[in-house]
Amino acid sequence: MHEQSITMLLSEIKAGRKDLVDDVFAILYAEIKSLAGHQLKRLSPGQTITPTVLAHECYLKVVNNEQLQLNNTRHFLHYMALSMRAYLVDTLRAKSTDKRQHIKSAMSLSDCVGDSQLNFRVMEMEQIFKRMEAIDEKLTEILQLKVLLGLTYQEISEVIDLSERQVIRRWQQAKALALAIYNEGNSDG
Amino acid sequence: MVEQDIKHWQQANEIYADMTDLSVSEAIAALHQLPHVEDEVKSLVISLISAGQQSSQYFDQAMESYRQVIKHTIFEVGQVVGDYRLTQALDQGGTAEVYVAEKVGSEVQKPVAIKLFNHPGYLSHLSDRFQVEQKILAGLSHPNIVKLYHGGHSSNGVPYMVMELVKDAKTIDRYVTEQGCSTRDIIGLIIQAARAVAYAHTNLVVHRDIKPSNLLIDDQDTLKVVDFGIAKLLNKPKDPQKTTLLALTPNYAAPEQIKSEPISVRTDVFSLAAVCLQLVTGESPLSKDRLLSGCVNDDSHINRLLKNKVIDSDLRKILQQALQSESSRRYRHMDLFADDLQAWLEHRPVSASRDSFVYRIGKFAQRRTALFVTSVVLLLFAVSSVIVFSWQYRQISIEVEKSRQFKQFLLNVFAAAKPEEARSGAIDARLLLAQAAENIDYLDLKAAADKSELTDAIAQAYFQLGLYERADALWQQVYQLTPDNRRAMLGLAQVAVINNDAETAKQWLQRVQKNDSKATQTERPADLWLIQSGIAELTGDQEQALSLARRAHDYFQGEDLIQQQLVAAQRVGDLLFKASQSKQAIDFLQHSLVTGRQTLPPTHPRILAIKNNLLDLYNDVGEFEQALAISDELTSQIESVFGERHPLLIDTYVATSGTYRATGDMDKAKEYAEKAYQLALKLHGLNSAITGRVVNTLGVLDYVRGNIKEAIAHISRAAEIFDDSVGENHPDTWEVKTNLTALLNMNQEYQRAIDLIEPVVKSQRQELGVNHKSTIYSQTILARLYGDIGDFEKATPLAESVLKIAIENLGEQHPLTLGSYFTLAKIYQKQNRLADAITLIGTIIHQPEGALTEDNESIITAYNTLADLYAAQDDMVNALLYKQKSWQAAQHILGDSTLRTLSQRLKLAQLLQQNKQFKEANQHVQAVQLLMQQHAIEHPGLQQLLDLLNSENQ
Repeated sequence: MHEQSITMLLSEIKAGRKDLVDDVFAILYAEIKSLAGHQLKRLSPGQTITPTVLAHECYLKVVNNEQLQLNNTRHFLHYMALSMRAYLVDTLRAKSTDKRQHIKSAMSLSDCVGDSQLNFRVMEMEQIFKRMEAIDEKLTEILQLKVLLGLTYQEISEVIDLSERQVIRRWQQAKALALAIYNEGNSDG
Repeated sequence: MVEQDIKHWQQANEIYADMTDLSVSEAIAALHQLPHVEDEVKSLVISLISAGQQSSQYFDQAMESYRQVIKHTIFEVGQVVGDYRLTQALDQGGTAEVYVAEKVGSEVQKPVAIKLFNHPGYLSHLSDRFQVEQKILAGLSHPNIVKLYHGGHSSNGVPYMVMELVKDAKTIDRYVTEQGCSTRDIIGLIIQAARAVAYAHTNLVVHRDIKPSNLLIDDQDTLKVVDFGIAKLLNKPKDPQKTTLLALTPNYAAPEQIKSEPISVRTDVFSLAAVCLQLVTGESPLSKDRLLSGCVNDDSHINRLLKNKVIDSDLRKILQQALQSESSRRYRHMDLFADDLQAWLEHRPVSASRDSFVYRIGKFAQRRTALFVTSVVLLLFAVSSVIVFSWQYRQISIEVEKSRQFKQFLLNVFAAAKPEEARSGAIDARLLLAQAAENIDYLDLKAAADKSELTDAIAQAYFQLGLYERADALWQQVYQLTPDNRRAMLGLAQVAVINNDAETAKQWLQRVQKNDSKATQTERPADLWLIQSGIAELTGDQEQALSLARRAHDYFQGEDLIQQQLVAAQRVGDLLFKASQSKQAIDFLQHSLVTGRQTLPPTHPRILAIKNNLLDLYNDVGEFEQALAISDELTSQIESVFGERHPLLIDTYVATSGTYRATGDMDKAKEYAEKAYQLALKLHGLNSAITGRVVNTLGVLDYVRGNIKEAIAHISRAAEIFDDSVGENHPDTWEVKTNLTALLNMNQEYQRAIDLIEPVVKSQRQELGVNHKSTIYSQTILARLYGDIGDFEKATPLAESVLKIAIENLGEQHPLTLGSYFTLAKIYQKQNRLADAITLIGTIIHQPEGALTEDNESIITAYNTLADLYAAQDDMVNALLYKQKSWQAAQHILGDSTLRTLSQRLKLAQLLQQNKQFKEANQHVQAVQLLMQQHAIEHPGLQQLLDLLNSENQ
């Protein structure tokens, strides 16, 4: 489906072709979506899959097809996390618009998202990610890798080239920032 | 603005990056050593430091929620489930999918709806219970309930239910928006829903998940409630009373559901009312974070919405009643909710408080003044009723001679008083009664019954005066003399209630009932109800107490017994007041005042007494204008009709003083207190209990103005007066002495305080028992005093045992229980057991059962205490955090310029100074100074603190 390999795209982005970011994004998004669809069909009723599993599948698929260089892995995972976020939010939105497409009255976030408080939390995390990106991209990256892609400290340390101890420290800092943002939003409302 | 905000965050984040390895206090210290950091940034760093301490629970839950998003679905249109073919998808909820379906191979049958429970959590346990439950649900048959036909399992094991298909169903919120329904239309729909749910309730089915998407309107504009009991079906079997969070809608769920507390029909009342509120206001009825916050903001959110968006006050009242956080305060049945809505539609008066009640004692001592003086008025009234009584005898011309005798007897009693006192009109009722009681024995009465009647009248009078022991003795005499005397038995039951002796009271009541069953004519049952109401209150059943009092009131009203009706009205008012429902109490008393005025003169003691209670109530709810209006009315009525000698006048002055005190007009407050004092002195002399009361009031006023020493002087004198006038075993004497002890404690006169309170505690233990509120209070103070002089061997066990007793007898939320908590914490602190103290205070703030709500004034103390404890532990972050919270709570509850808020703010400033945050401290100090200027507040204590802070700052 995609002509260009992700590896190629990533190198070109690195070389300054920022306009190609969208392409990588589109490829990964499609990949995740199709993987998810495929996975879901295999599951028995009621089972769920996690973004972590999806991400691993996606990673394996790309790595099997292409020679992903280690210094590109980091970017790759970053874009994958972003794609994953987009996919999850879209999935939620789709569910809620299915259900309430007729209701036009002004609604709060939780109304849009629907019944499940758990779904609500996904949207909440999305808000936190967005705000964090503006404040500290690197911390956001660590948070995404850990929470969304389920990487271990060691894996993260390999990807972003920091010692494991440093990763743990950064993770703590990221957690504090996320929670502080969350608390701030909560006390305002 | 946003740019700026992001910049602040970035700076804070950078600063915090170097702090992640530090402990909290190290981090804070490091922060304050950094030069040139803006305040906004600083506060963000502090919130980062504090967030760094939080658990990672949030992220664990976030992970879990991602998992739920990507969920498997297996059903699609065309598929066959059981005997049905799915023809159209209707709804994909969090818990189930709904399809339109047709029976395979049958053209005749109408299409049905099938609900498929395709969710991971349910498969394991749903099957077993499914069969049983669905039969019960299938039994529900009501035009406004969607009929459930039967249930089953699909070939791959997914449970489903086959239901009536609602044609062209619209959810109620969509319908209301599309049709542009008026508020009245909406209420009409809600009533339909309420009746249907009430029907289900009578079949022992609670809906548990009422929300707009479960209230459908069909093409005939008929409302249909769907999904009865589904939420229960989805529960874990071992916990059938609880609802899983997954299965319910936090926007409409009752607090007890979210907190996993037992569910009742009132749970549905809440949810339906929440839906109603949303439809009427167009806004979300509850805050979005209520799952996280454990519903602590529910009340404030609902009240704000009601206040701002529901214009009609009756409707507001109804919804407020239905949306009480505590389920016991809501409508008891769905039908009562529907009735009130119906009444509202029809413009009939609503009774939004009729059946609700919550157990919240409190403020039990505040009304003493009023009750005390009122009882003096009633004494005069009781004596005159003896005359009326004899007059009645003459009317029916039974025994003219006896009537003459009674009259003479009374005249003799009055004549025995000193002539100068008699001339001035200021007769000591107590002496008079003692004299009367003694003289009865010498009275040559023909029948024992006659003597009984007179003795009973005097006992009544004693009772009204609060001299219960004597009343009790006299009634015992009457009972000995005439064992079938109903009034004596009732009186003895009443005394037992006053003495907190529910058992004895019940025994007397049983005798009355036995007696009544033998009597030839029917006796008034309402007399019994009033006493039963008292017993119910004693045993903690406030709801029953109120309902009995109301019943008695209605009975008397029906029988046209106006005076008894007013007595019952006062009782209802008292109960409502004690339940902190002062507004309802006001409505009730105003109503009975209207009734009373139709037959009684405006200056009748009962009318005056009710007005006097109203005065207190208006003060209690903060409607000071109304309070002042009533006190004006009372003052002028009493002065014009009775002159200044009427006992209520003093009380009115005292209450007026209280009103001015509350509005901050200290000069006026002082003026009226002085007026009351002069009058009391003139009428009752230096050693009367009434004068004692007023002197006590002067002391309280001193205390409020911050003059502890003068307060102590006044209240000591009041205590002496009470010792002399009512005796040292009188509740009023105890109360004054206990208050004095508290003041002495504040003034650090510990030994004097201990000497004063020890005998009080001893006699209260004997007279009232250890479980009594007053005993608990005085023992708490004693424990604190022992702690203050360092006698921990006495202090610790006493405080621990009192706390235990208080929790058991009064409940976690009672102000006295909270006082015991604070005292024990203080004692731990003195022994340097800081961790114990922190845990203890943490218990009241954080524990779900004990949790203090944000509008409870004690939260201010709790935060403040916690802050001091952390400060003692050198944990400045938490100390500052809780000091700040304490101030904010005070601001939130009391407003920003009340004495307490100001003083709390200065305490915060003090702590900031200690922490070398001079700039911040100074800002608070200046703000306080400004507020004090603006509101012309003078307060020695505050001033002292201000001076101290200012000198430190330089």
